[in-house]
Amino acid sequence: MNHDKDPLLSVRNLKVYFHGRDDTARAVDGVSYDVGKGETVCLVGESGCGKTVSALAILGLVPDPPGEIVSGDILFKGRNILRLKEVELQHIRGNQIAMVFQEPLTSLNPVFTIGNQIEEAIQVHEDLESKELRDRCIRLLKDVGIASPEQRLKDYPHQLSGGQRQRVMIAMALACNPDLIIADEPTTALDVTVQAQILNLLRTIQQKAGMSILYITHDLGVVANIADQVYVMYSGLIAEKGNTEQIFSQPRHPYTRGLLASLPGRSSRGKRLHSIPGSVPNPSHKPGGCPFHPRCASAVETCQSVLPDMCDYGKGHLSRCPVIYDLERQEKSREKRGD
Amino acid sequence: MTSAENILERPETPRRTRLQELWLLFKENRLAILGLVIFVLFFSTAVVGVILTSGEDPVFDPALIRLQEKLLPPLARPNLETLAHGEAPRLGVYLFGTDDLGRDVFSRMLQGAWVSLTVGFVAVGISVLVGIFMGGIAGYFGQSHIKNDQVIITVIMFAGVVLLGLGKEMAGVVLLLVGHASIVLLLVSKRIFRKRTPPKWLKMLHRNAISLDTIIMRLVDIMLCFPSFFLILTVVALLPASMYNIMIVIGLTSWMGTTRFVRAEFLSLREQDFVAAAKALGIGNFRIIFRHMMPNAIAPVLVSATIGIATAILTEAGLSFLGFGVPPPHATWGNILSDGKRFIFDAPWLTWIPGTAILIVVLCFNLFGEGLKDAMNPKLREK
Amino acid sequence: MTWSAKRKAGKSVETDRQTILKVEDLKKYFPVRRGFFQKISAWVKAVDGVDFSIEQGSSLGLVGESGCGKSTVAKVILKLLEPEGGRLIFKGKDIASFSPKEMRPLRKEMQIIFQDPYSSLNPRMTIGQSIEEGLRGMGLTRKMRTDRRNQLLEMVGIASRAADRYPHEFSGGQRQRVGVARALSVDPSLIICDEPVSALDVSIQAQIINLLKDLQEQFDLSYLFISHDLNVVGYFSDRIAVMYLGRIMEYAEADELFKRPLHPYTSALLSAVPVPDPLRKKELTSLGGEVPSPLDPPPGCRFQGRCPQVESRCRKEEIPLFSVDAGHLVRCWKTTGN
Repeated sequence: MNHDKDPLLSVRNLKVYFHGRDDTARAVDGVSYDVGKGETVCLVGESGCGKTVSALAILGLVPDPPGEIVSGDILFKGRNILRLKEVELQHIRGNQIAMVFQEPLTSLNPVFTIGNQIEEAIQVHEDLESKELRDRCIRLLKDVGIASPEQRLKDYPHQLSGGQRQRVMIAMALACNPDLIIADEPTTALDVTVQAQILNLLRTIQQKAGMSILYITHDLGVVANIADQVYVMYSGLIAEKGNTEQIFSQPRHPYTRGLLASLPGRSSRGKRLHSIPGSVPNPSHKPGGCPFHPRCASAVETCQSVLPDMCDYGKGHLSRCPVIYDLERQEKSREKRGD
Repeated sequence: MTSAENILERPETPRRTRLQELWLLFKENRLAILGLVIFVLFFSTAVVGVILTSGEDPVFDPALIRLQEKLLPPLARPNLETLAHGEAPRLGVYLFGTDDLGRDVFSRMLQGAWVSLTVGFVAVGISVLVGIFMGGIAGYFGQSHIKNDQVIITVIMFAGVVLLGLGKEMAGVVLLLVGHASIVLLLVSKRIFRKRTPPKWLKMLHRNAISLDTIIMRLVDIMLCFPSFFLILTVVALLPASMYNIMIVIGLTSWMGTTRFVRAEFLSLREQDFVAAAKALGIGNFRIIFRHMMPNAIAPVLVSATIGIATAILTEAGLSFLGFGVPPPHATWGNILSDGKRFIFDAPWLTWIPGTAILIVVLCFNLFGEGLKDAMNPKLREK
Repeated sequence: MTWSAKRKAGKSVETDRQTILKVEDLKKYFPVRRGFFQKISAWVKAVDGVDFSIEQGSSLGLVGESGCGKSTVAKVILKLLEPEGGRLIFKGKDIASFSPKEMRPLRKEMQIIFQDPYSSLNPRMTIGQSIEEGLRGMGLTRKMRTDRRNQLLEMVGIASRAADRYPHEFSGGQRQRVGVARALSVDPSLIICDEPVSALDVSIQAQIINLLKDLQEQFDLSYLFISHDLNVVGYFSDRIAVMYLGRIMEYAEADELFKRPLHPYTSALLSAVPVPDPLRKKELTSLGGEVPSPLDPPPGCRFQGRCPQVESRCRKEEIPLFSVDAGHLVRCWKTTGN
């Protein structure tokens, strides 16, 4: 894991709005995150928090209209890719940044063979002879753990299982040795045993190739398993950021705490599950101030009107809750005085 | 109990019914609005027209023959000296001219509008009713089969009735008695053999013969084999000529498209959870079909119905043109066209006035239907 | 006090609670037809000999991956599908061969909550109408129906003034609550929950789970909780049945199952679930391969294709459910020392 000064990908204060008939949905409302070389960064959040939209913005896949990138920068290898023209973006897509989507069923074109689709992914960026091309495809399929790859090349997507299709998607993403893979809930639609296989596969590939992964999910278990850095998103904003140890053992945002506490498991058997009351705000009608305040047990007056900045706890742990920050500071100073 | 976690939020979202949303989408389609406007005009013309042209002394008389004024072009002045009192056109001019019998074409057009409207709506109404019934049954009961014994009994009874009708009373009555007796026997045998296994021949009788879905769809296929216009023509030629007969016949020969739409929607609706939930609640089949599923399947039917109205109007015009439509002296647009075909060079207005009217009305329904379809589509995609 | 409330309070529970549902050797096959004459060429054995029982007031978790047949079991229990064989004993009566007419009075006793909050409510009916549908035919007046409907809505946490709104105006979690209200409307004794929280966000999941638990206490409900999520099932159920390709592989009390999983599949499932605790980060044990198709399965153990401990015996003989401890049953030669 490299802690380079310059991260591979840097999203800075991104804002993406969707314009509807009478209102505007502020899907991404000022989001910043970094992905370093060889790092696995997880964007965690529930539906509607804007995590997928921010990822689509990286690759310029936000439909415009009705979407609009209102402000912000996305720096990839130092260049601001939001400023790039479509032609230049195509050079990056698939080649340097690749994406794996959630639904393996619909992500593959049903009327072309697997071989055709992988070959196409390569041919767009590189010029290879057909034998070289075929060999590369077979090697890719082997790398992602598909048995008898030579036969599989001629298969159509519907002849493969869900897990195999997702492996093919990963193979296509790897085809041109990208620096960054963006995976949008790649295992949500799969069985848990297959999910374990895919997660292990991603870890293996990452170790071998040293590439970065931006992993979008809502499953905190997966996050604990694979993430180096975690960004918790809520209603278009980053609520908390830290490494897995910090987030899981010392969560410092009421939303993160609420999420972790409401996970059912064997340990909570017999006890009433903690649940966060209310539901996610409508992106078109967000409450003023901190978007979480209507559901927050720790909210105070100012939370209703002032959108807080991130509070720094050191060692890269940030949280957007000044209430908890102040409380901890008071605790610390009380302890100091007490000693 | 769970009050803290509850309650309907979003007070800010304007409460819009699906109808209002549909209207908003529809509004944006200029052509569709044009279609709607023309439809409203047409509708009011027809209603007003039939009032103004019926009765003993109508405001506009479509049947008044004035041979001395025949074949006058539109906007021609009446020759007041040759006319008796009350024979002059109300408006002071012959707005659309006169036909070969000196009848005021404008009045005839007004009268004909009503016919076109009624034929269009009633025919389509009948076809939609038949269509959704057939489609609903086929789509919902799909795999329900009719058993061999039911087929045999039906055939016997049917034959009995036919024979009765043909006058062979003895044979007819015998067959009907046999049929009823078989039903009784069947019910009795069902009770007897509840616990024990029935003999082989009885089992054969209880086997599936053919499914409801197959019967209905093959019926649809058979009906579709006939070129519909000729079928209508044949039936209308055999029946006494009347507007009602025409409406019924057109309706009974155009239900097939609706059946297919409804069946297709039902096949996918059947798998939806809310249908299973309704069944689990113990709700009866027919209520599920007509109250729960049908409102969801109606969208494509509405679209095809509006276009069907256009087709029905054209069909009626065609029938009248060929002389098989509503009998004279009642005017229909097809009639006027028909009368005009002999004078197409001398009095072209007799052709292009009703022709244009038909064109405009059919166009308006088509535009309206397309607009509806487009407005409904994004809604169908919305979750 | 209801059974589950007593259990929670630590009071002694009568051991012979009435068994509300007992399933014995339940089978459901789907024919595959080929050719012009639609001859049956193969059978999809979706449910192939399933046994379990649910006591009144308790929750049985049915856990398994895709294609194991758990949703089919739900439909067969409700008699939305007819079983090919086996016994389905509900409140003492074998309803497996009941005709639709005989089922009618029983329908109100068992209800179902579905996974997809979007397709489980009729988009053309208001939520009030959806809930009231079940109340028809019970001899209630209009006012009584409306009152009961409002009472149910409040019970599941939705303001009763929202009764005339359509499903698309609600969020997924709220729709799920409406589904619960609908199921409750007819006073059932058994509710089958078919993946009720799988399509919901984590924070909403907890709300719905709490709601279900509260209702169970209040009305002495019995649940069949079907899910692929071991964490949720582990939290919710008293007993758990692990299903694979149409058969129950292991069946035990929830605590016992997690502490001592005896079937190789159960162990594989447990170790494949990522735990939200970074200190226990591990290479997830991945079971090779994927769930095979239930089309004409080979003889012997259903798990033979992926089992890390498979022997030749497993491929030949059908394995019965062995009883290991009080109430812990496993379908395996090796781990039960047979």
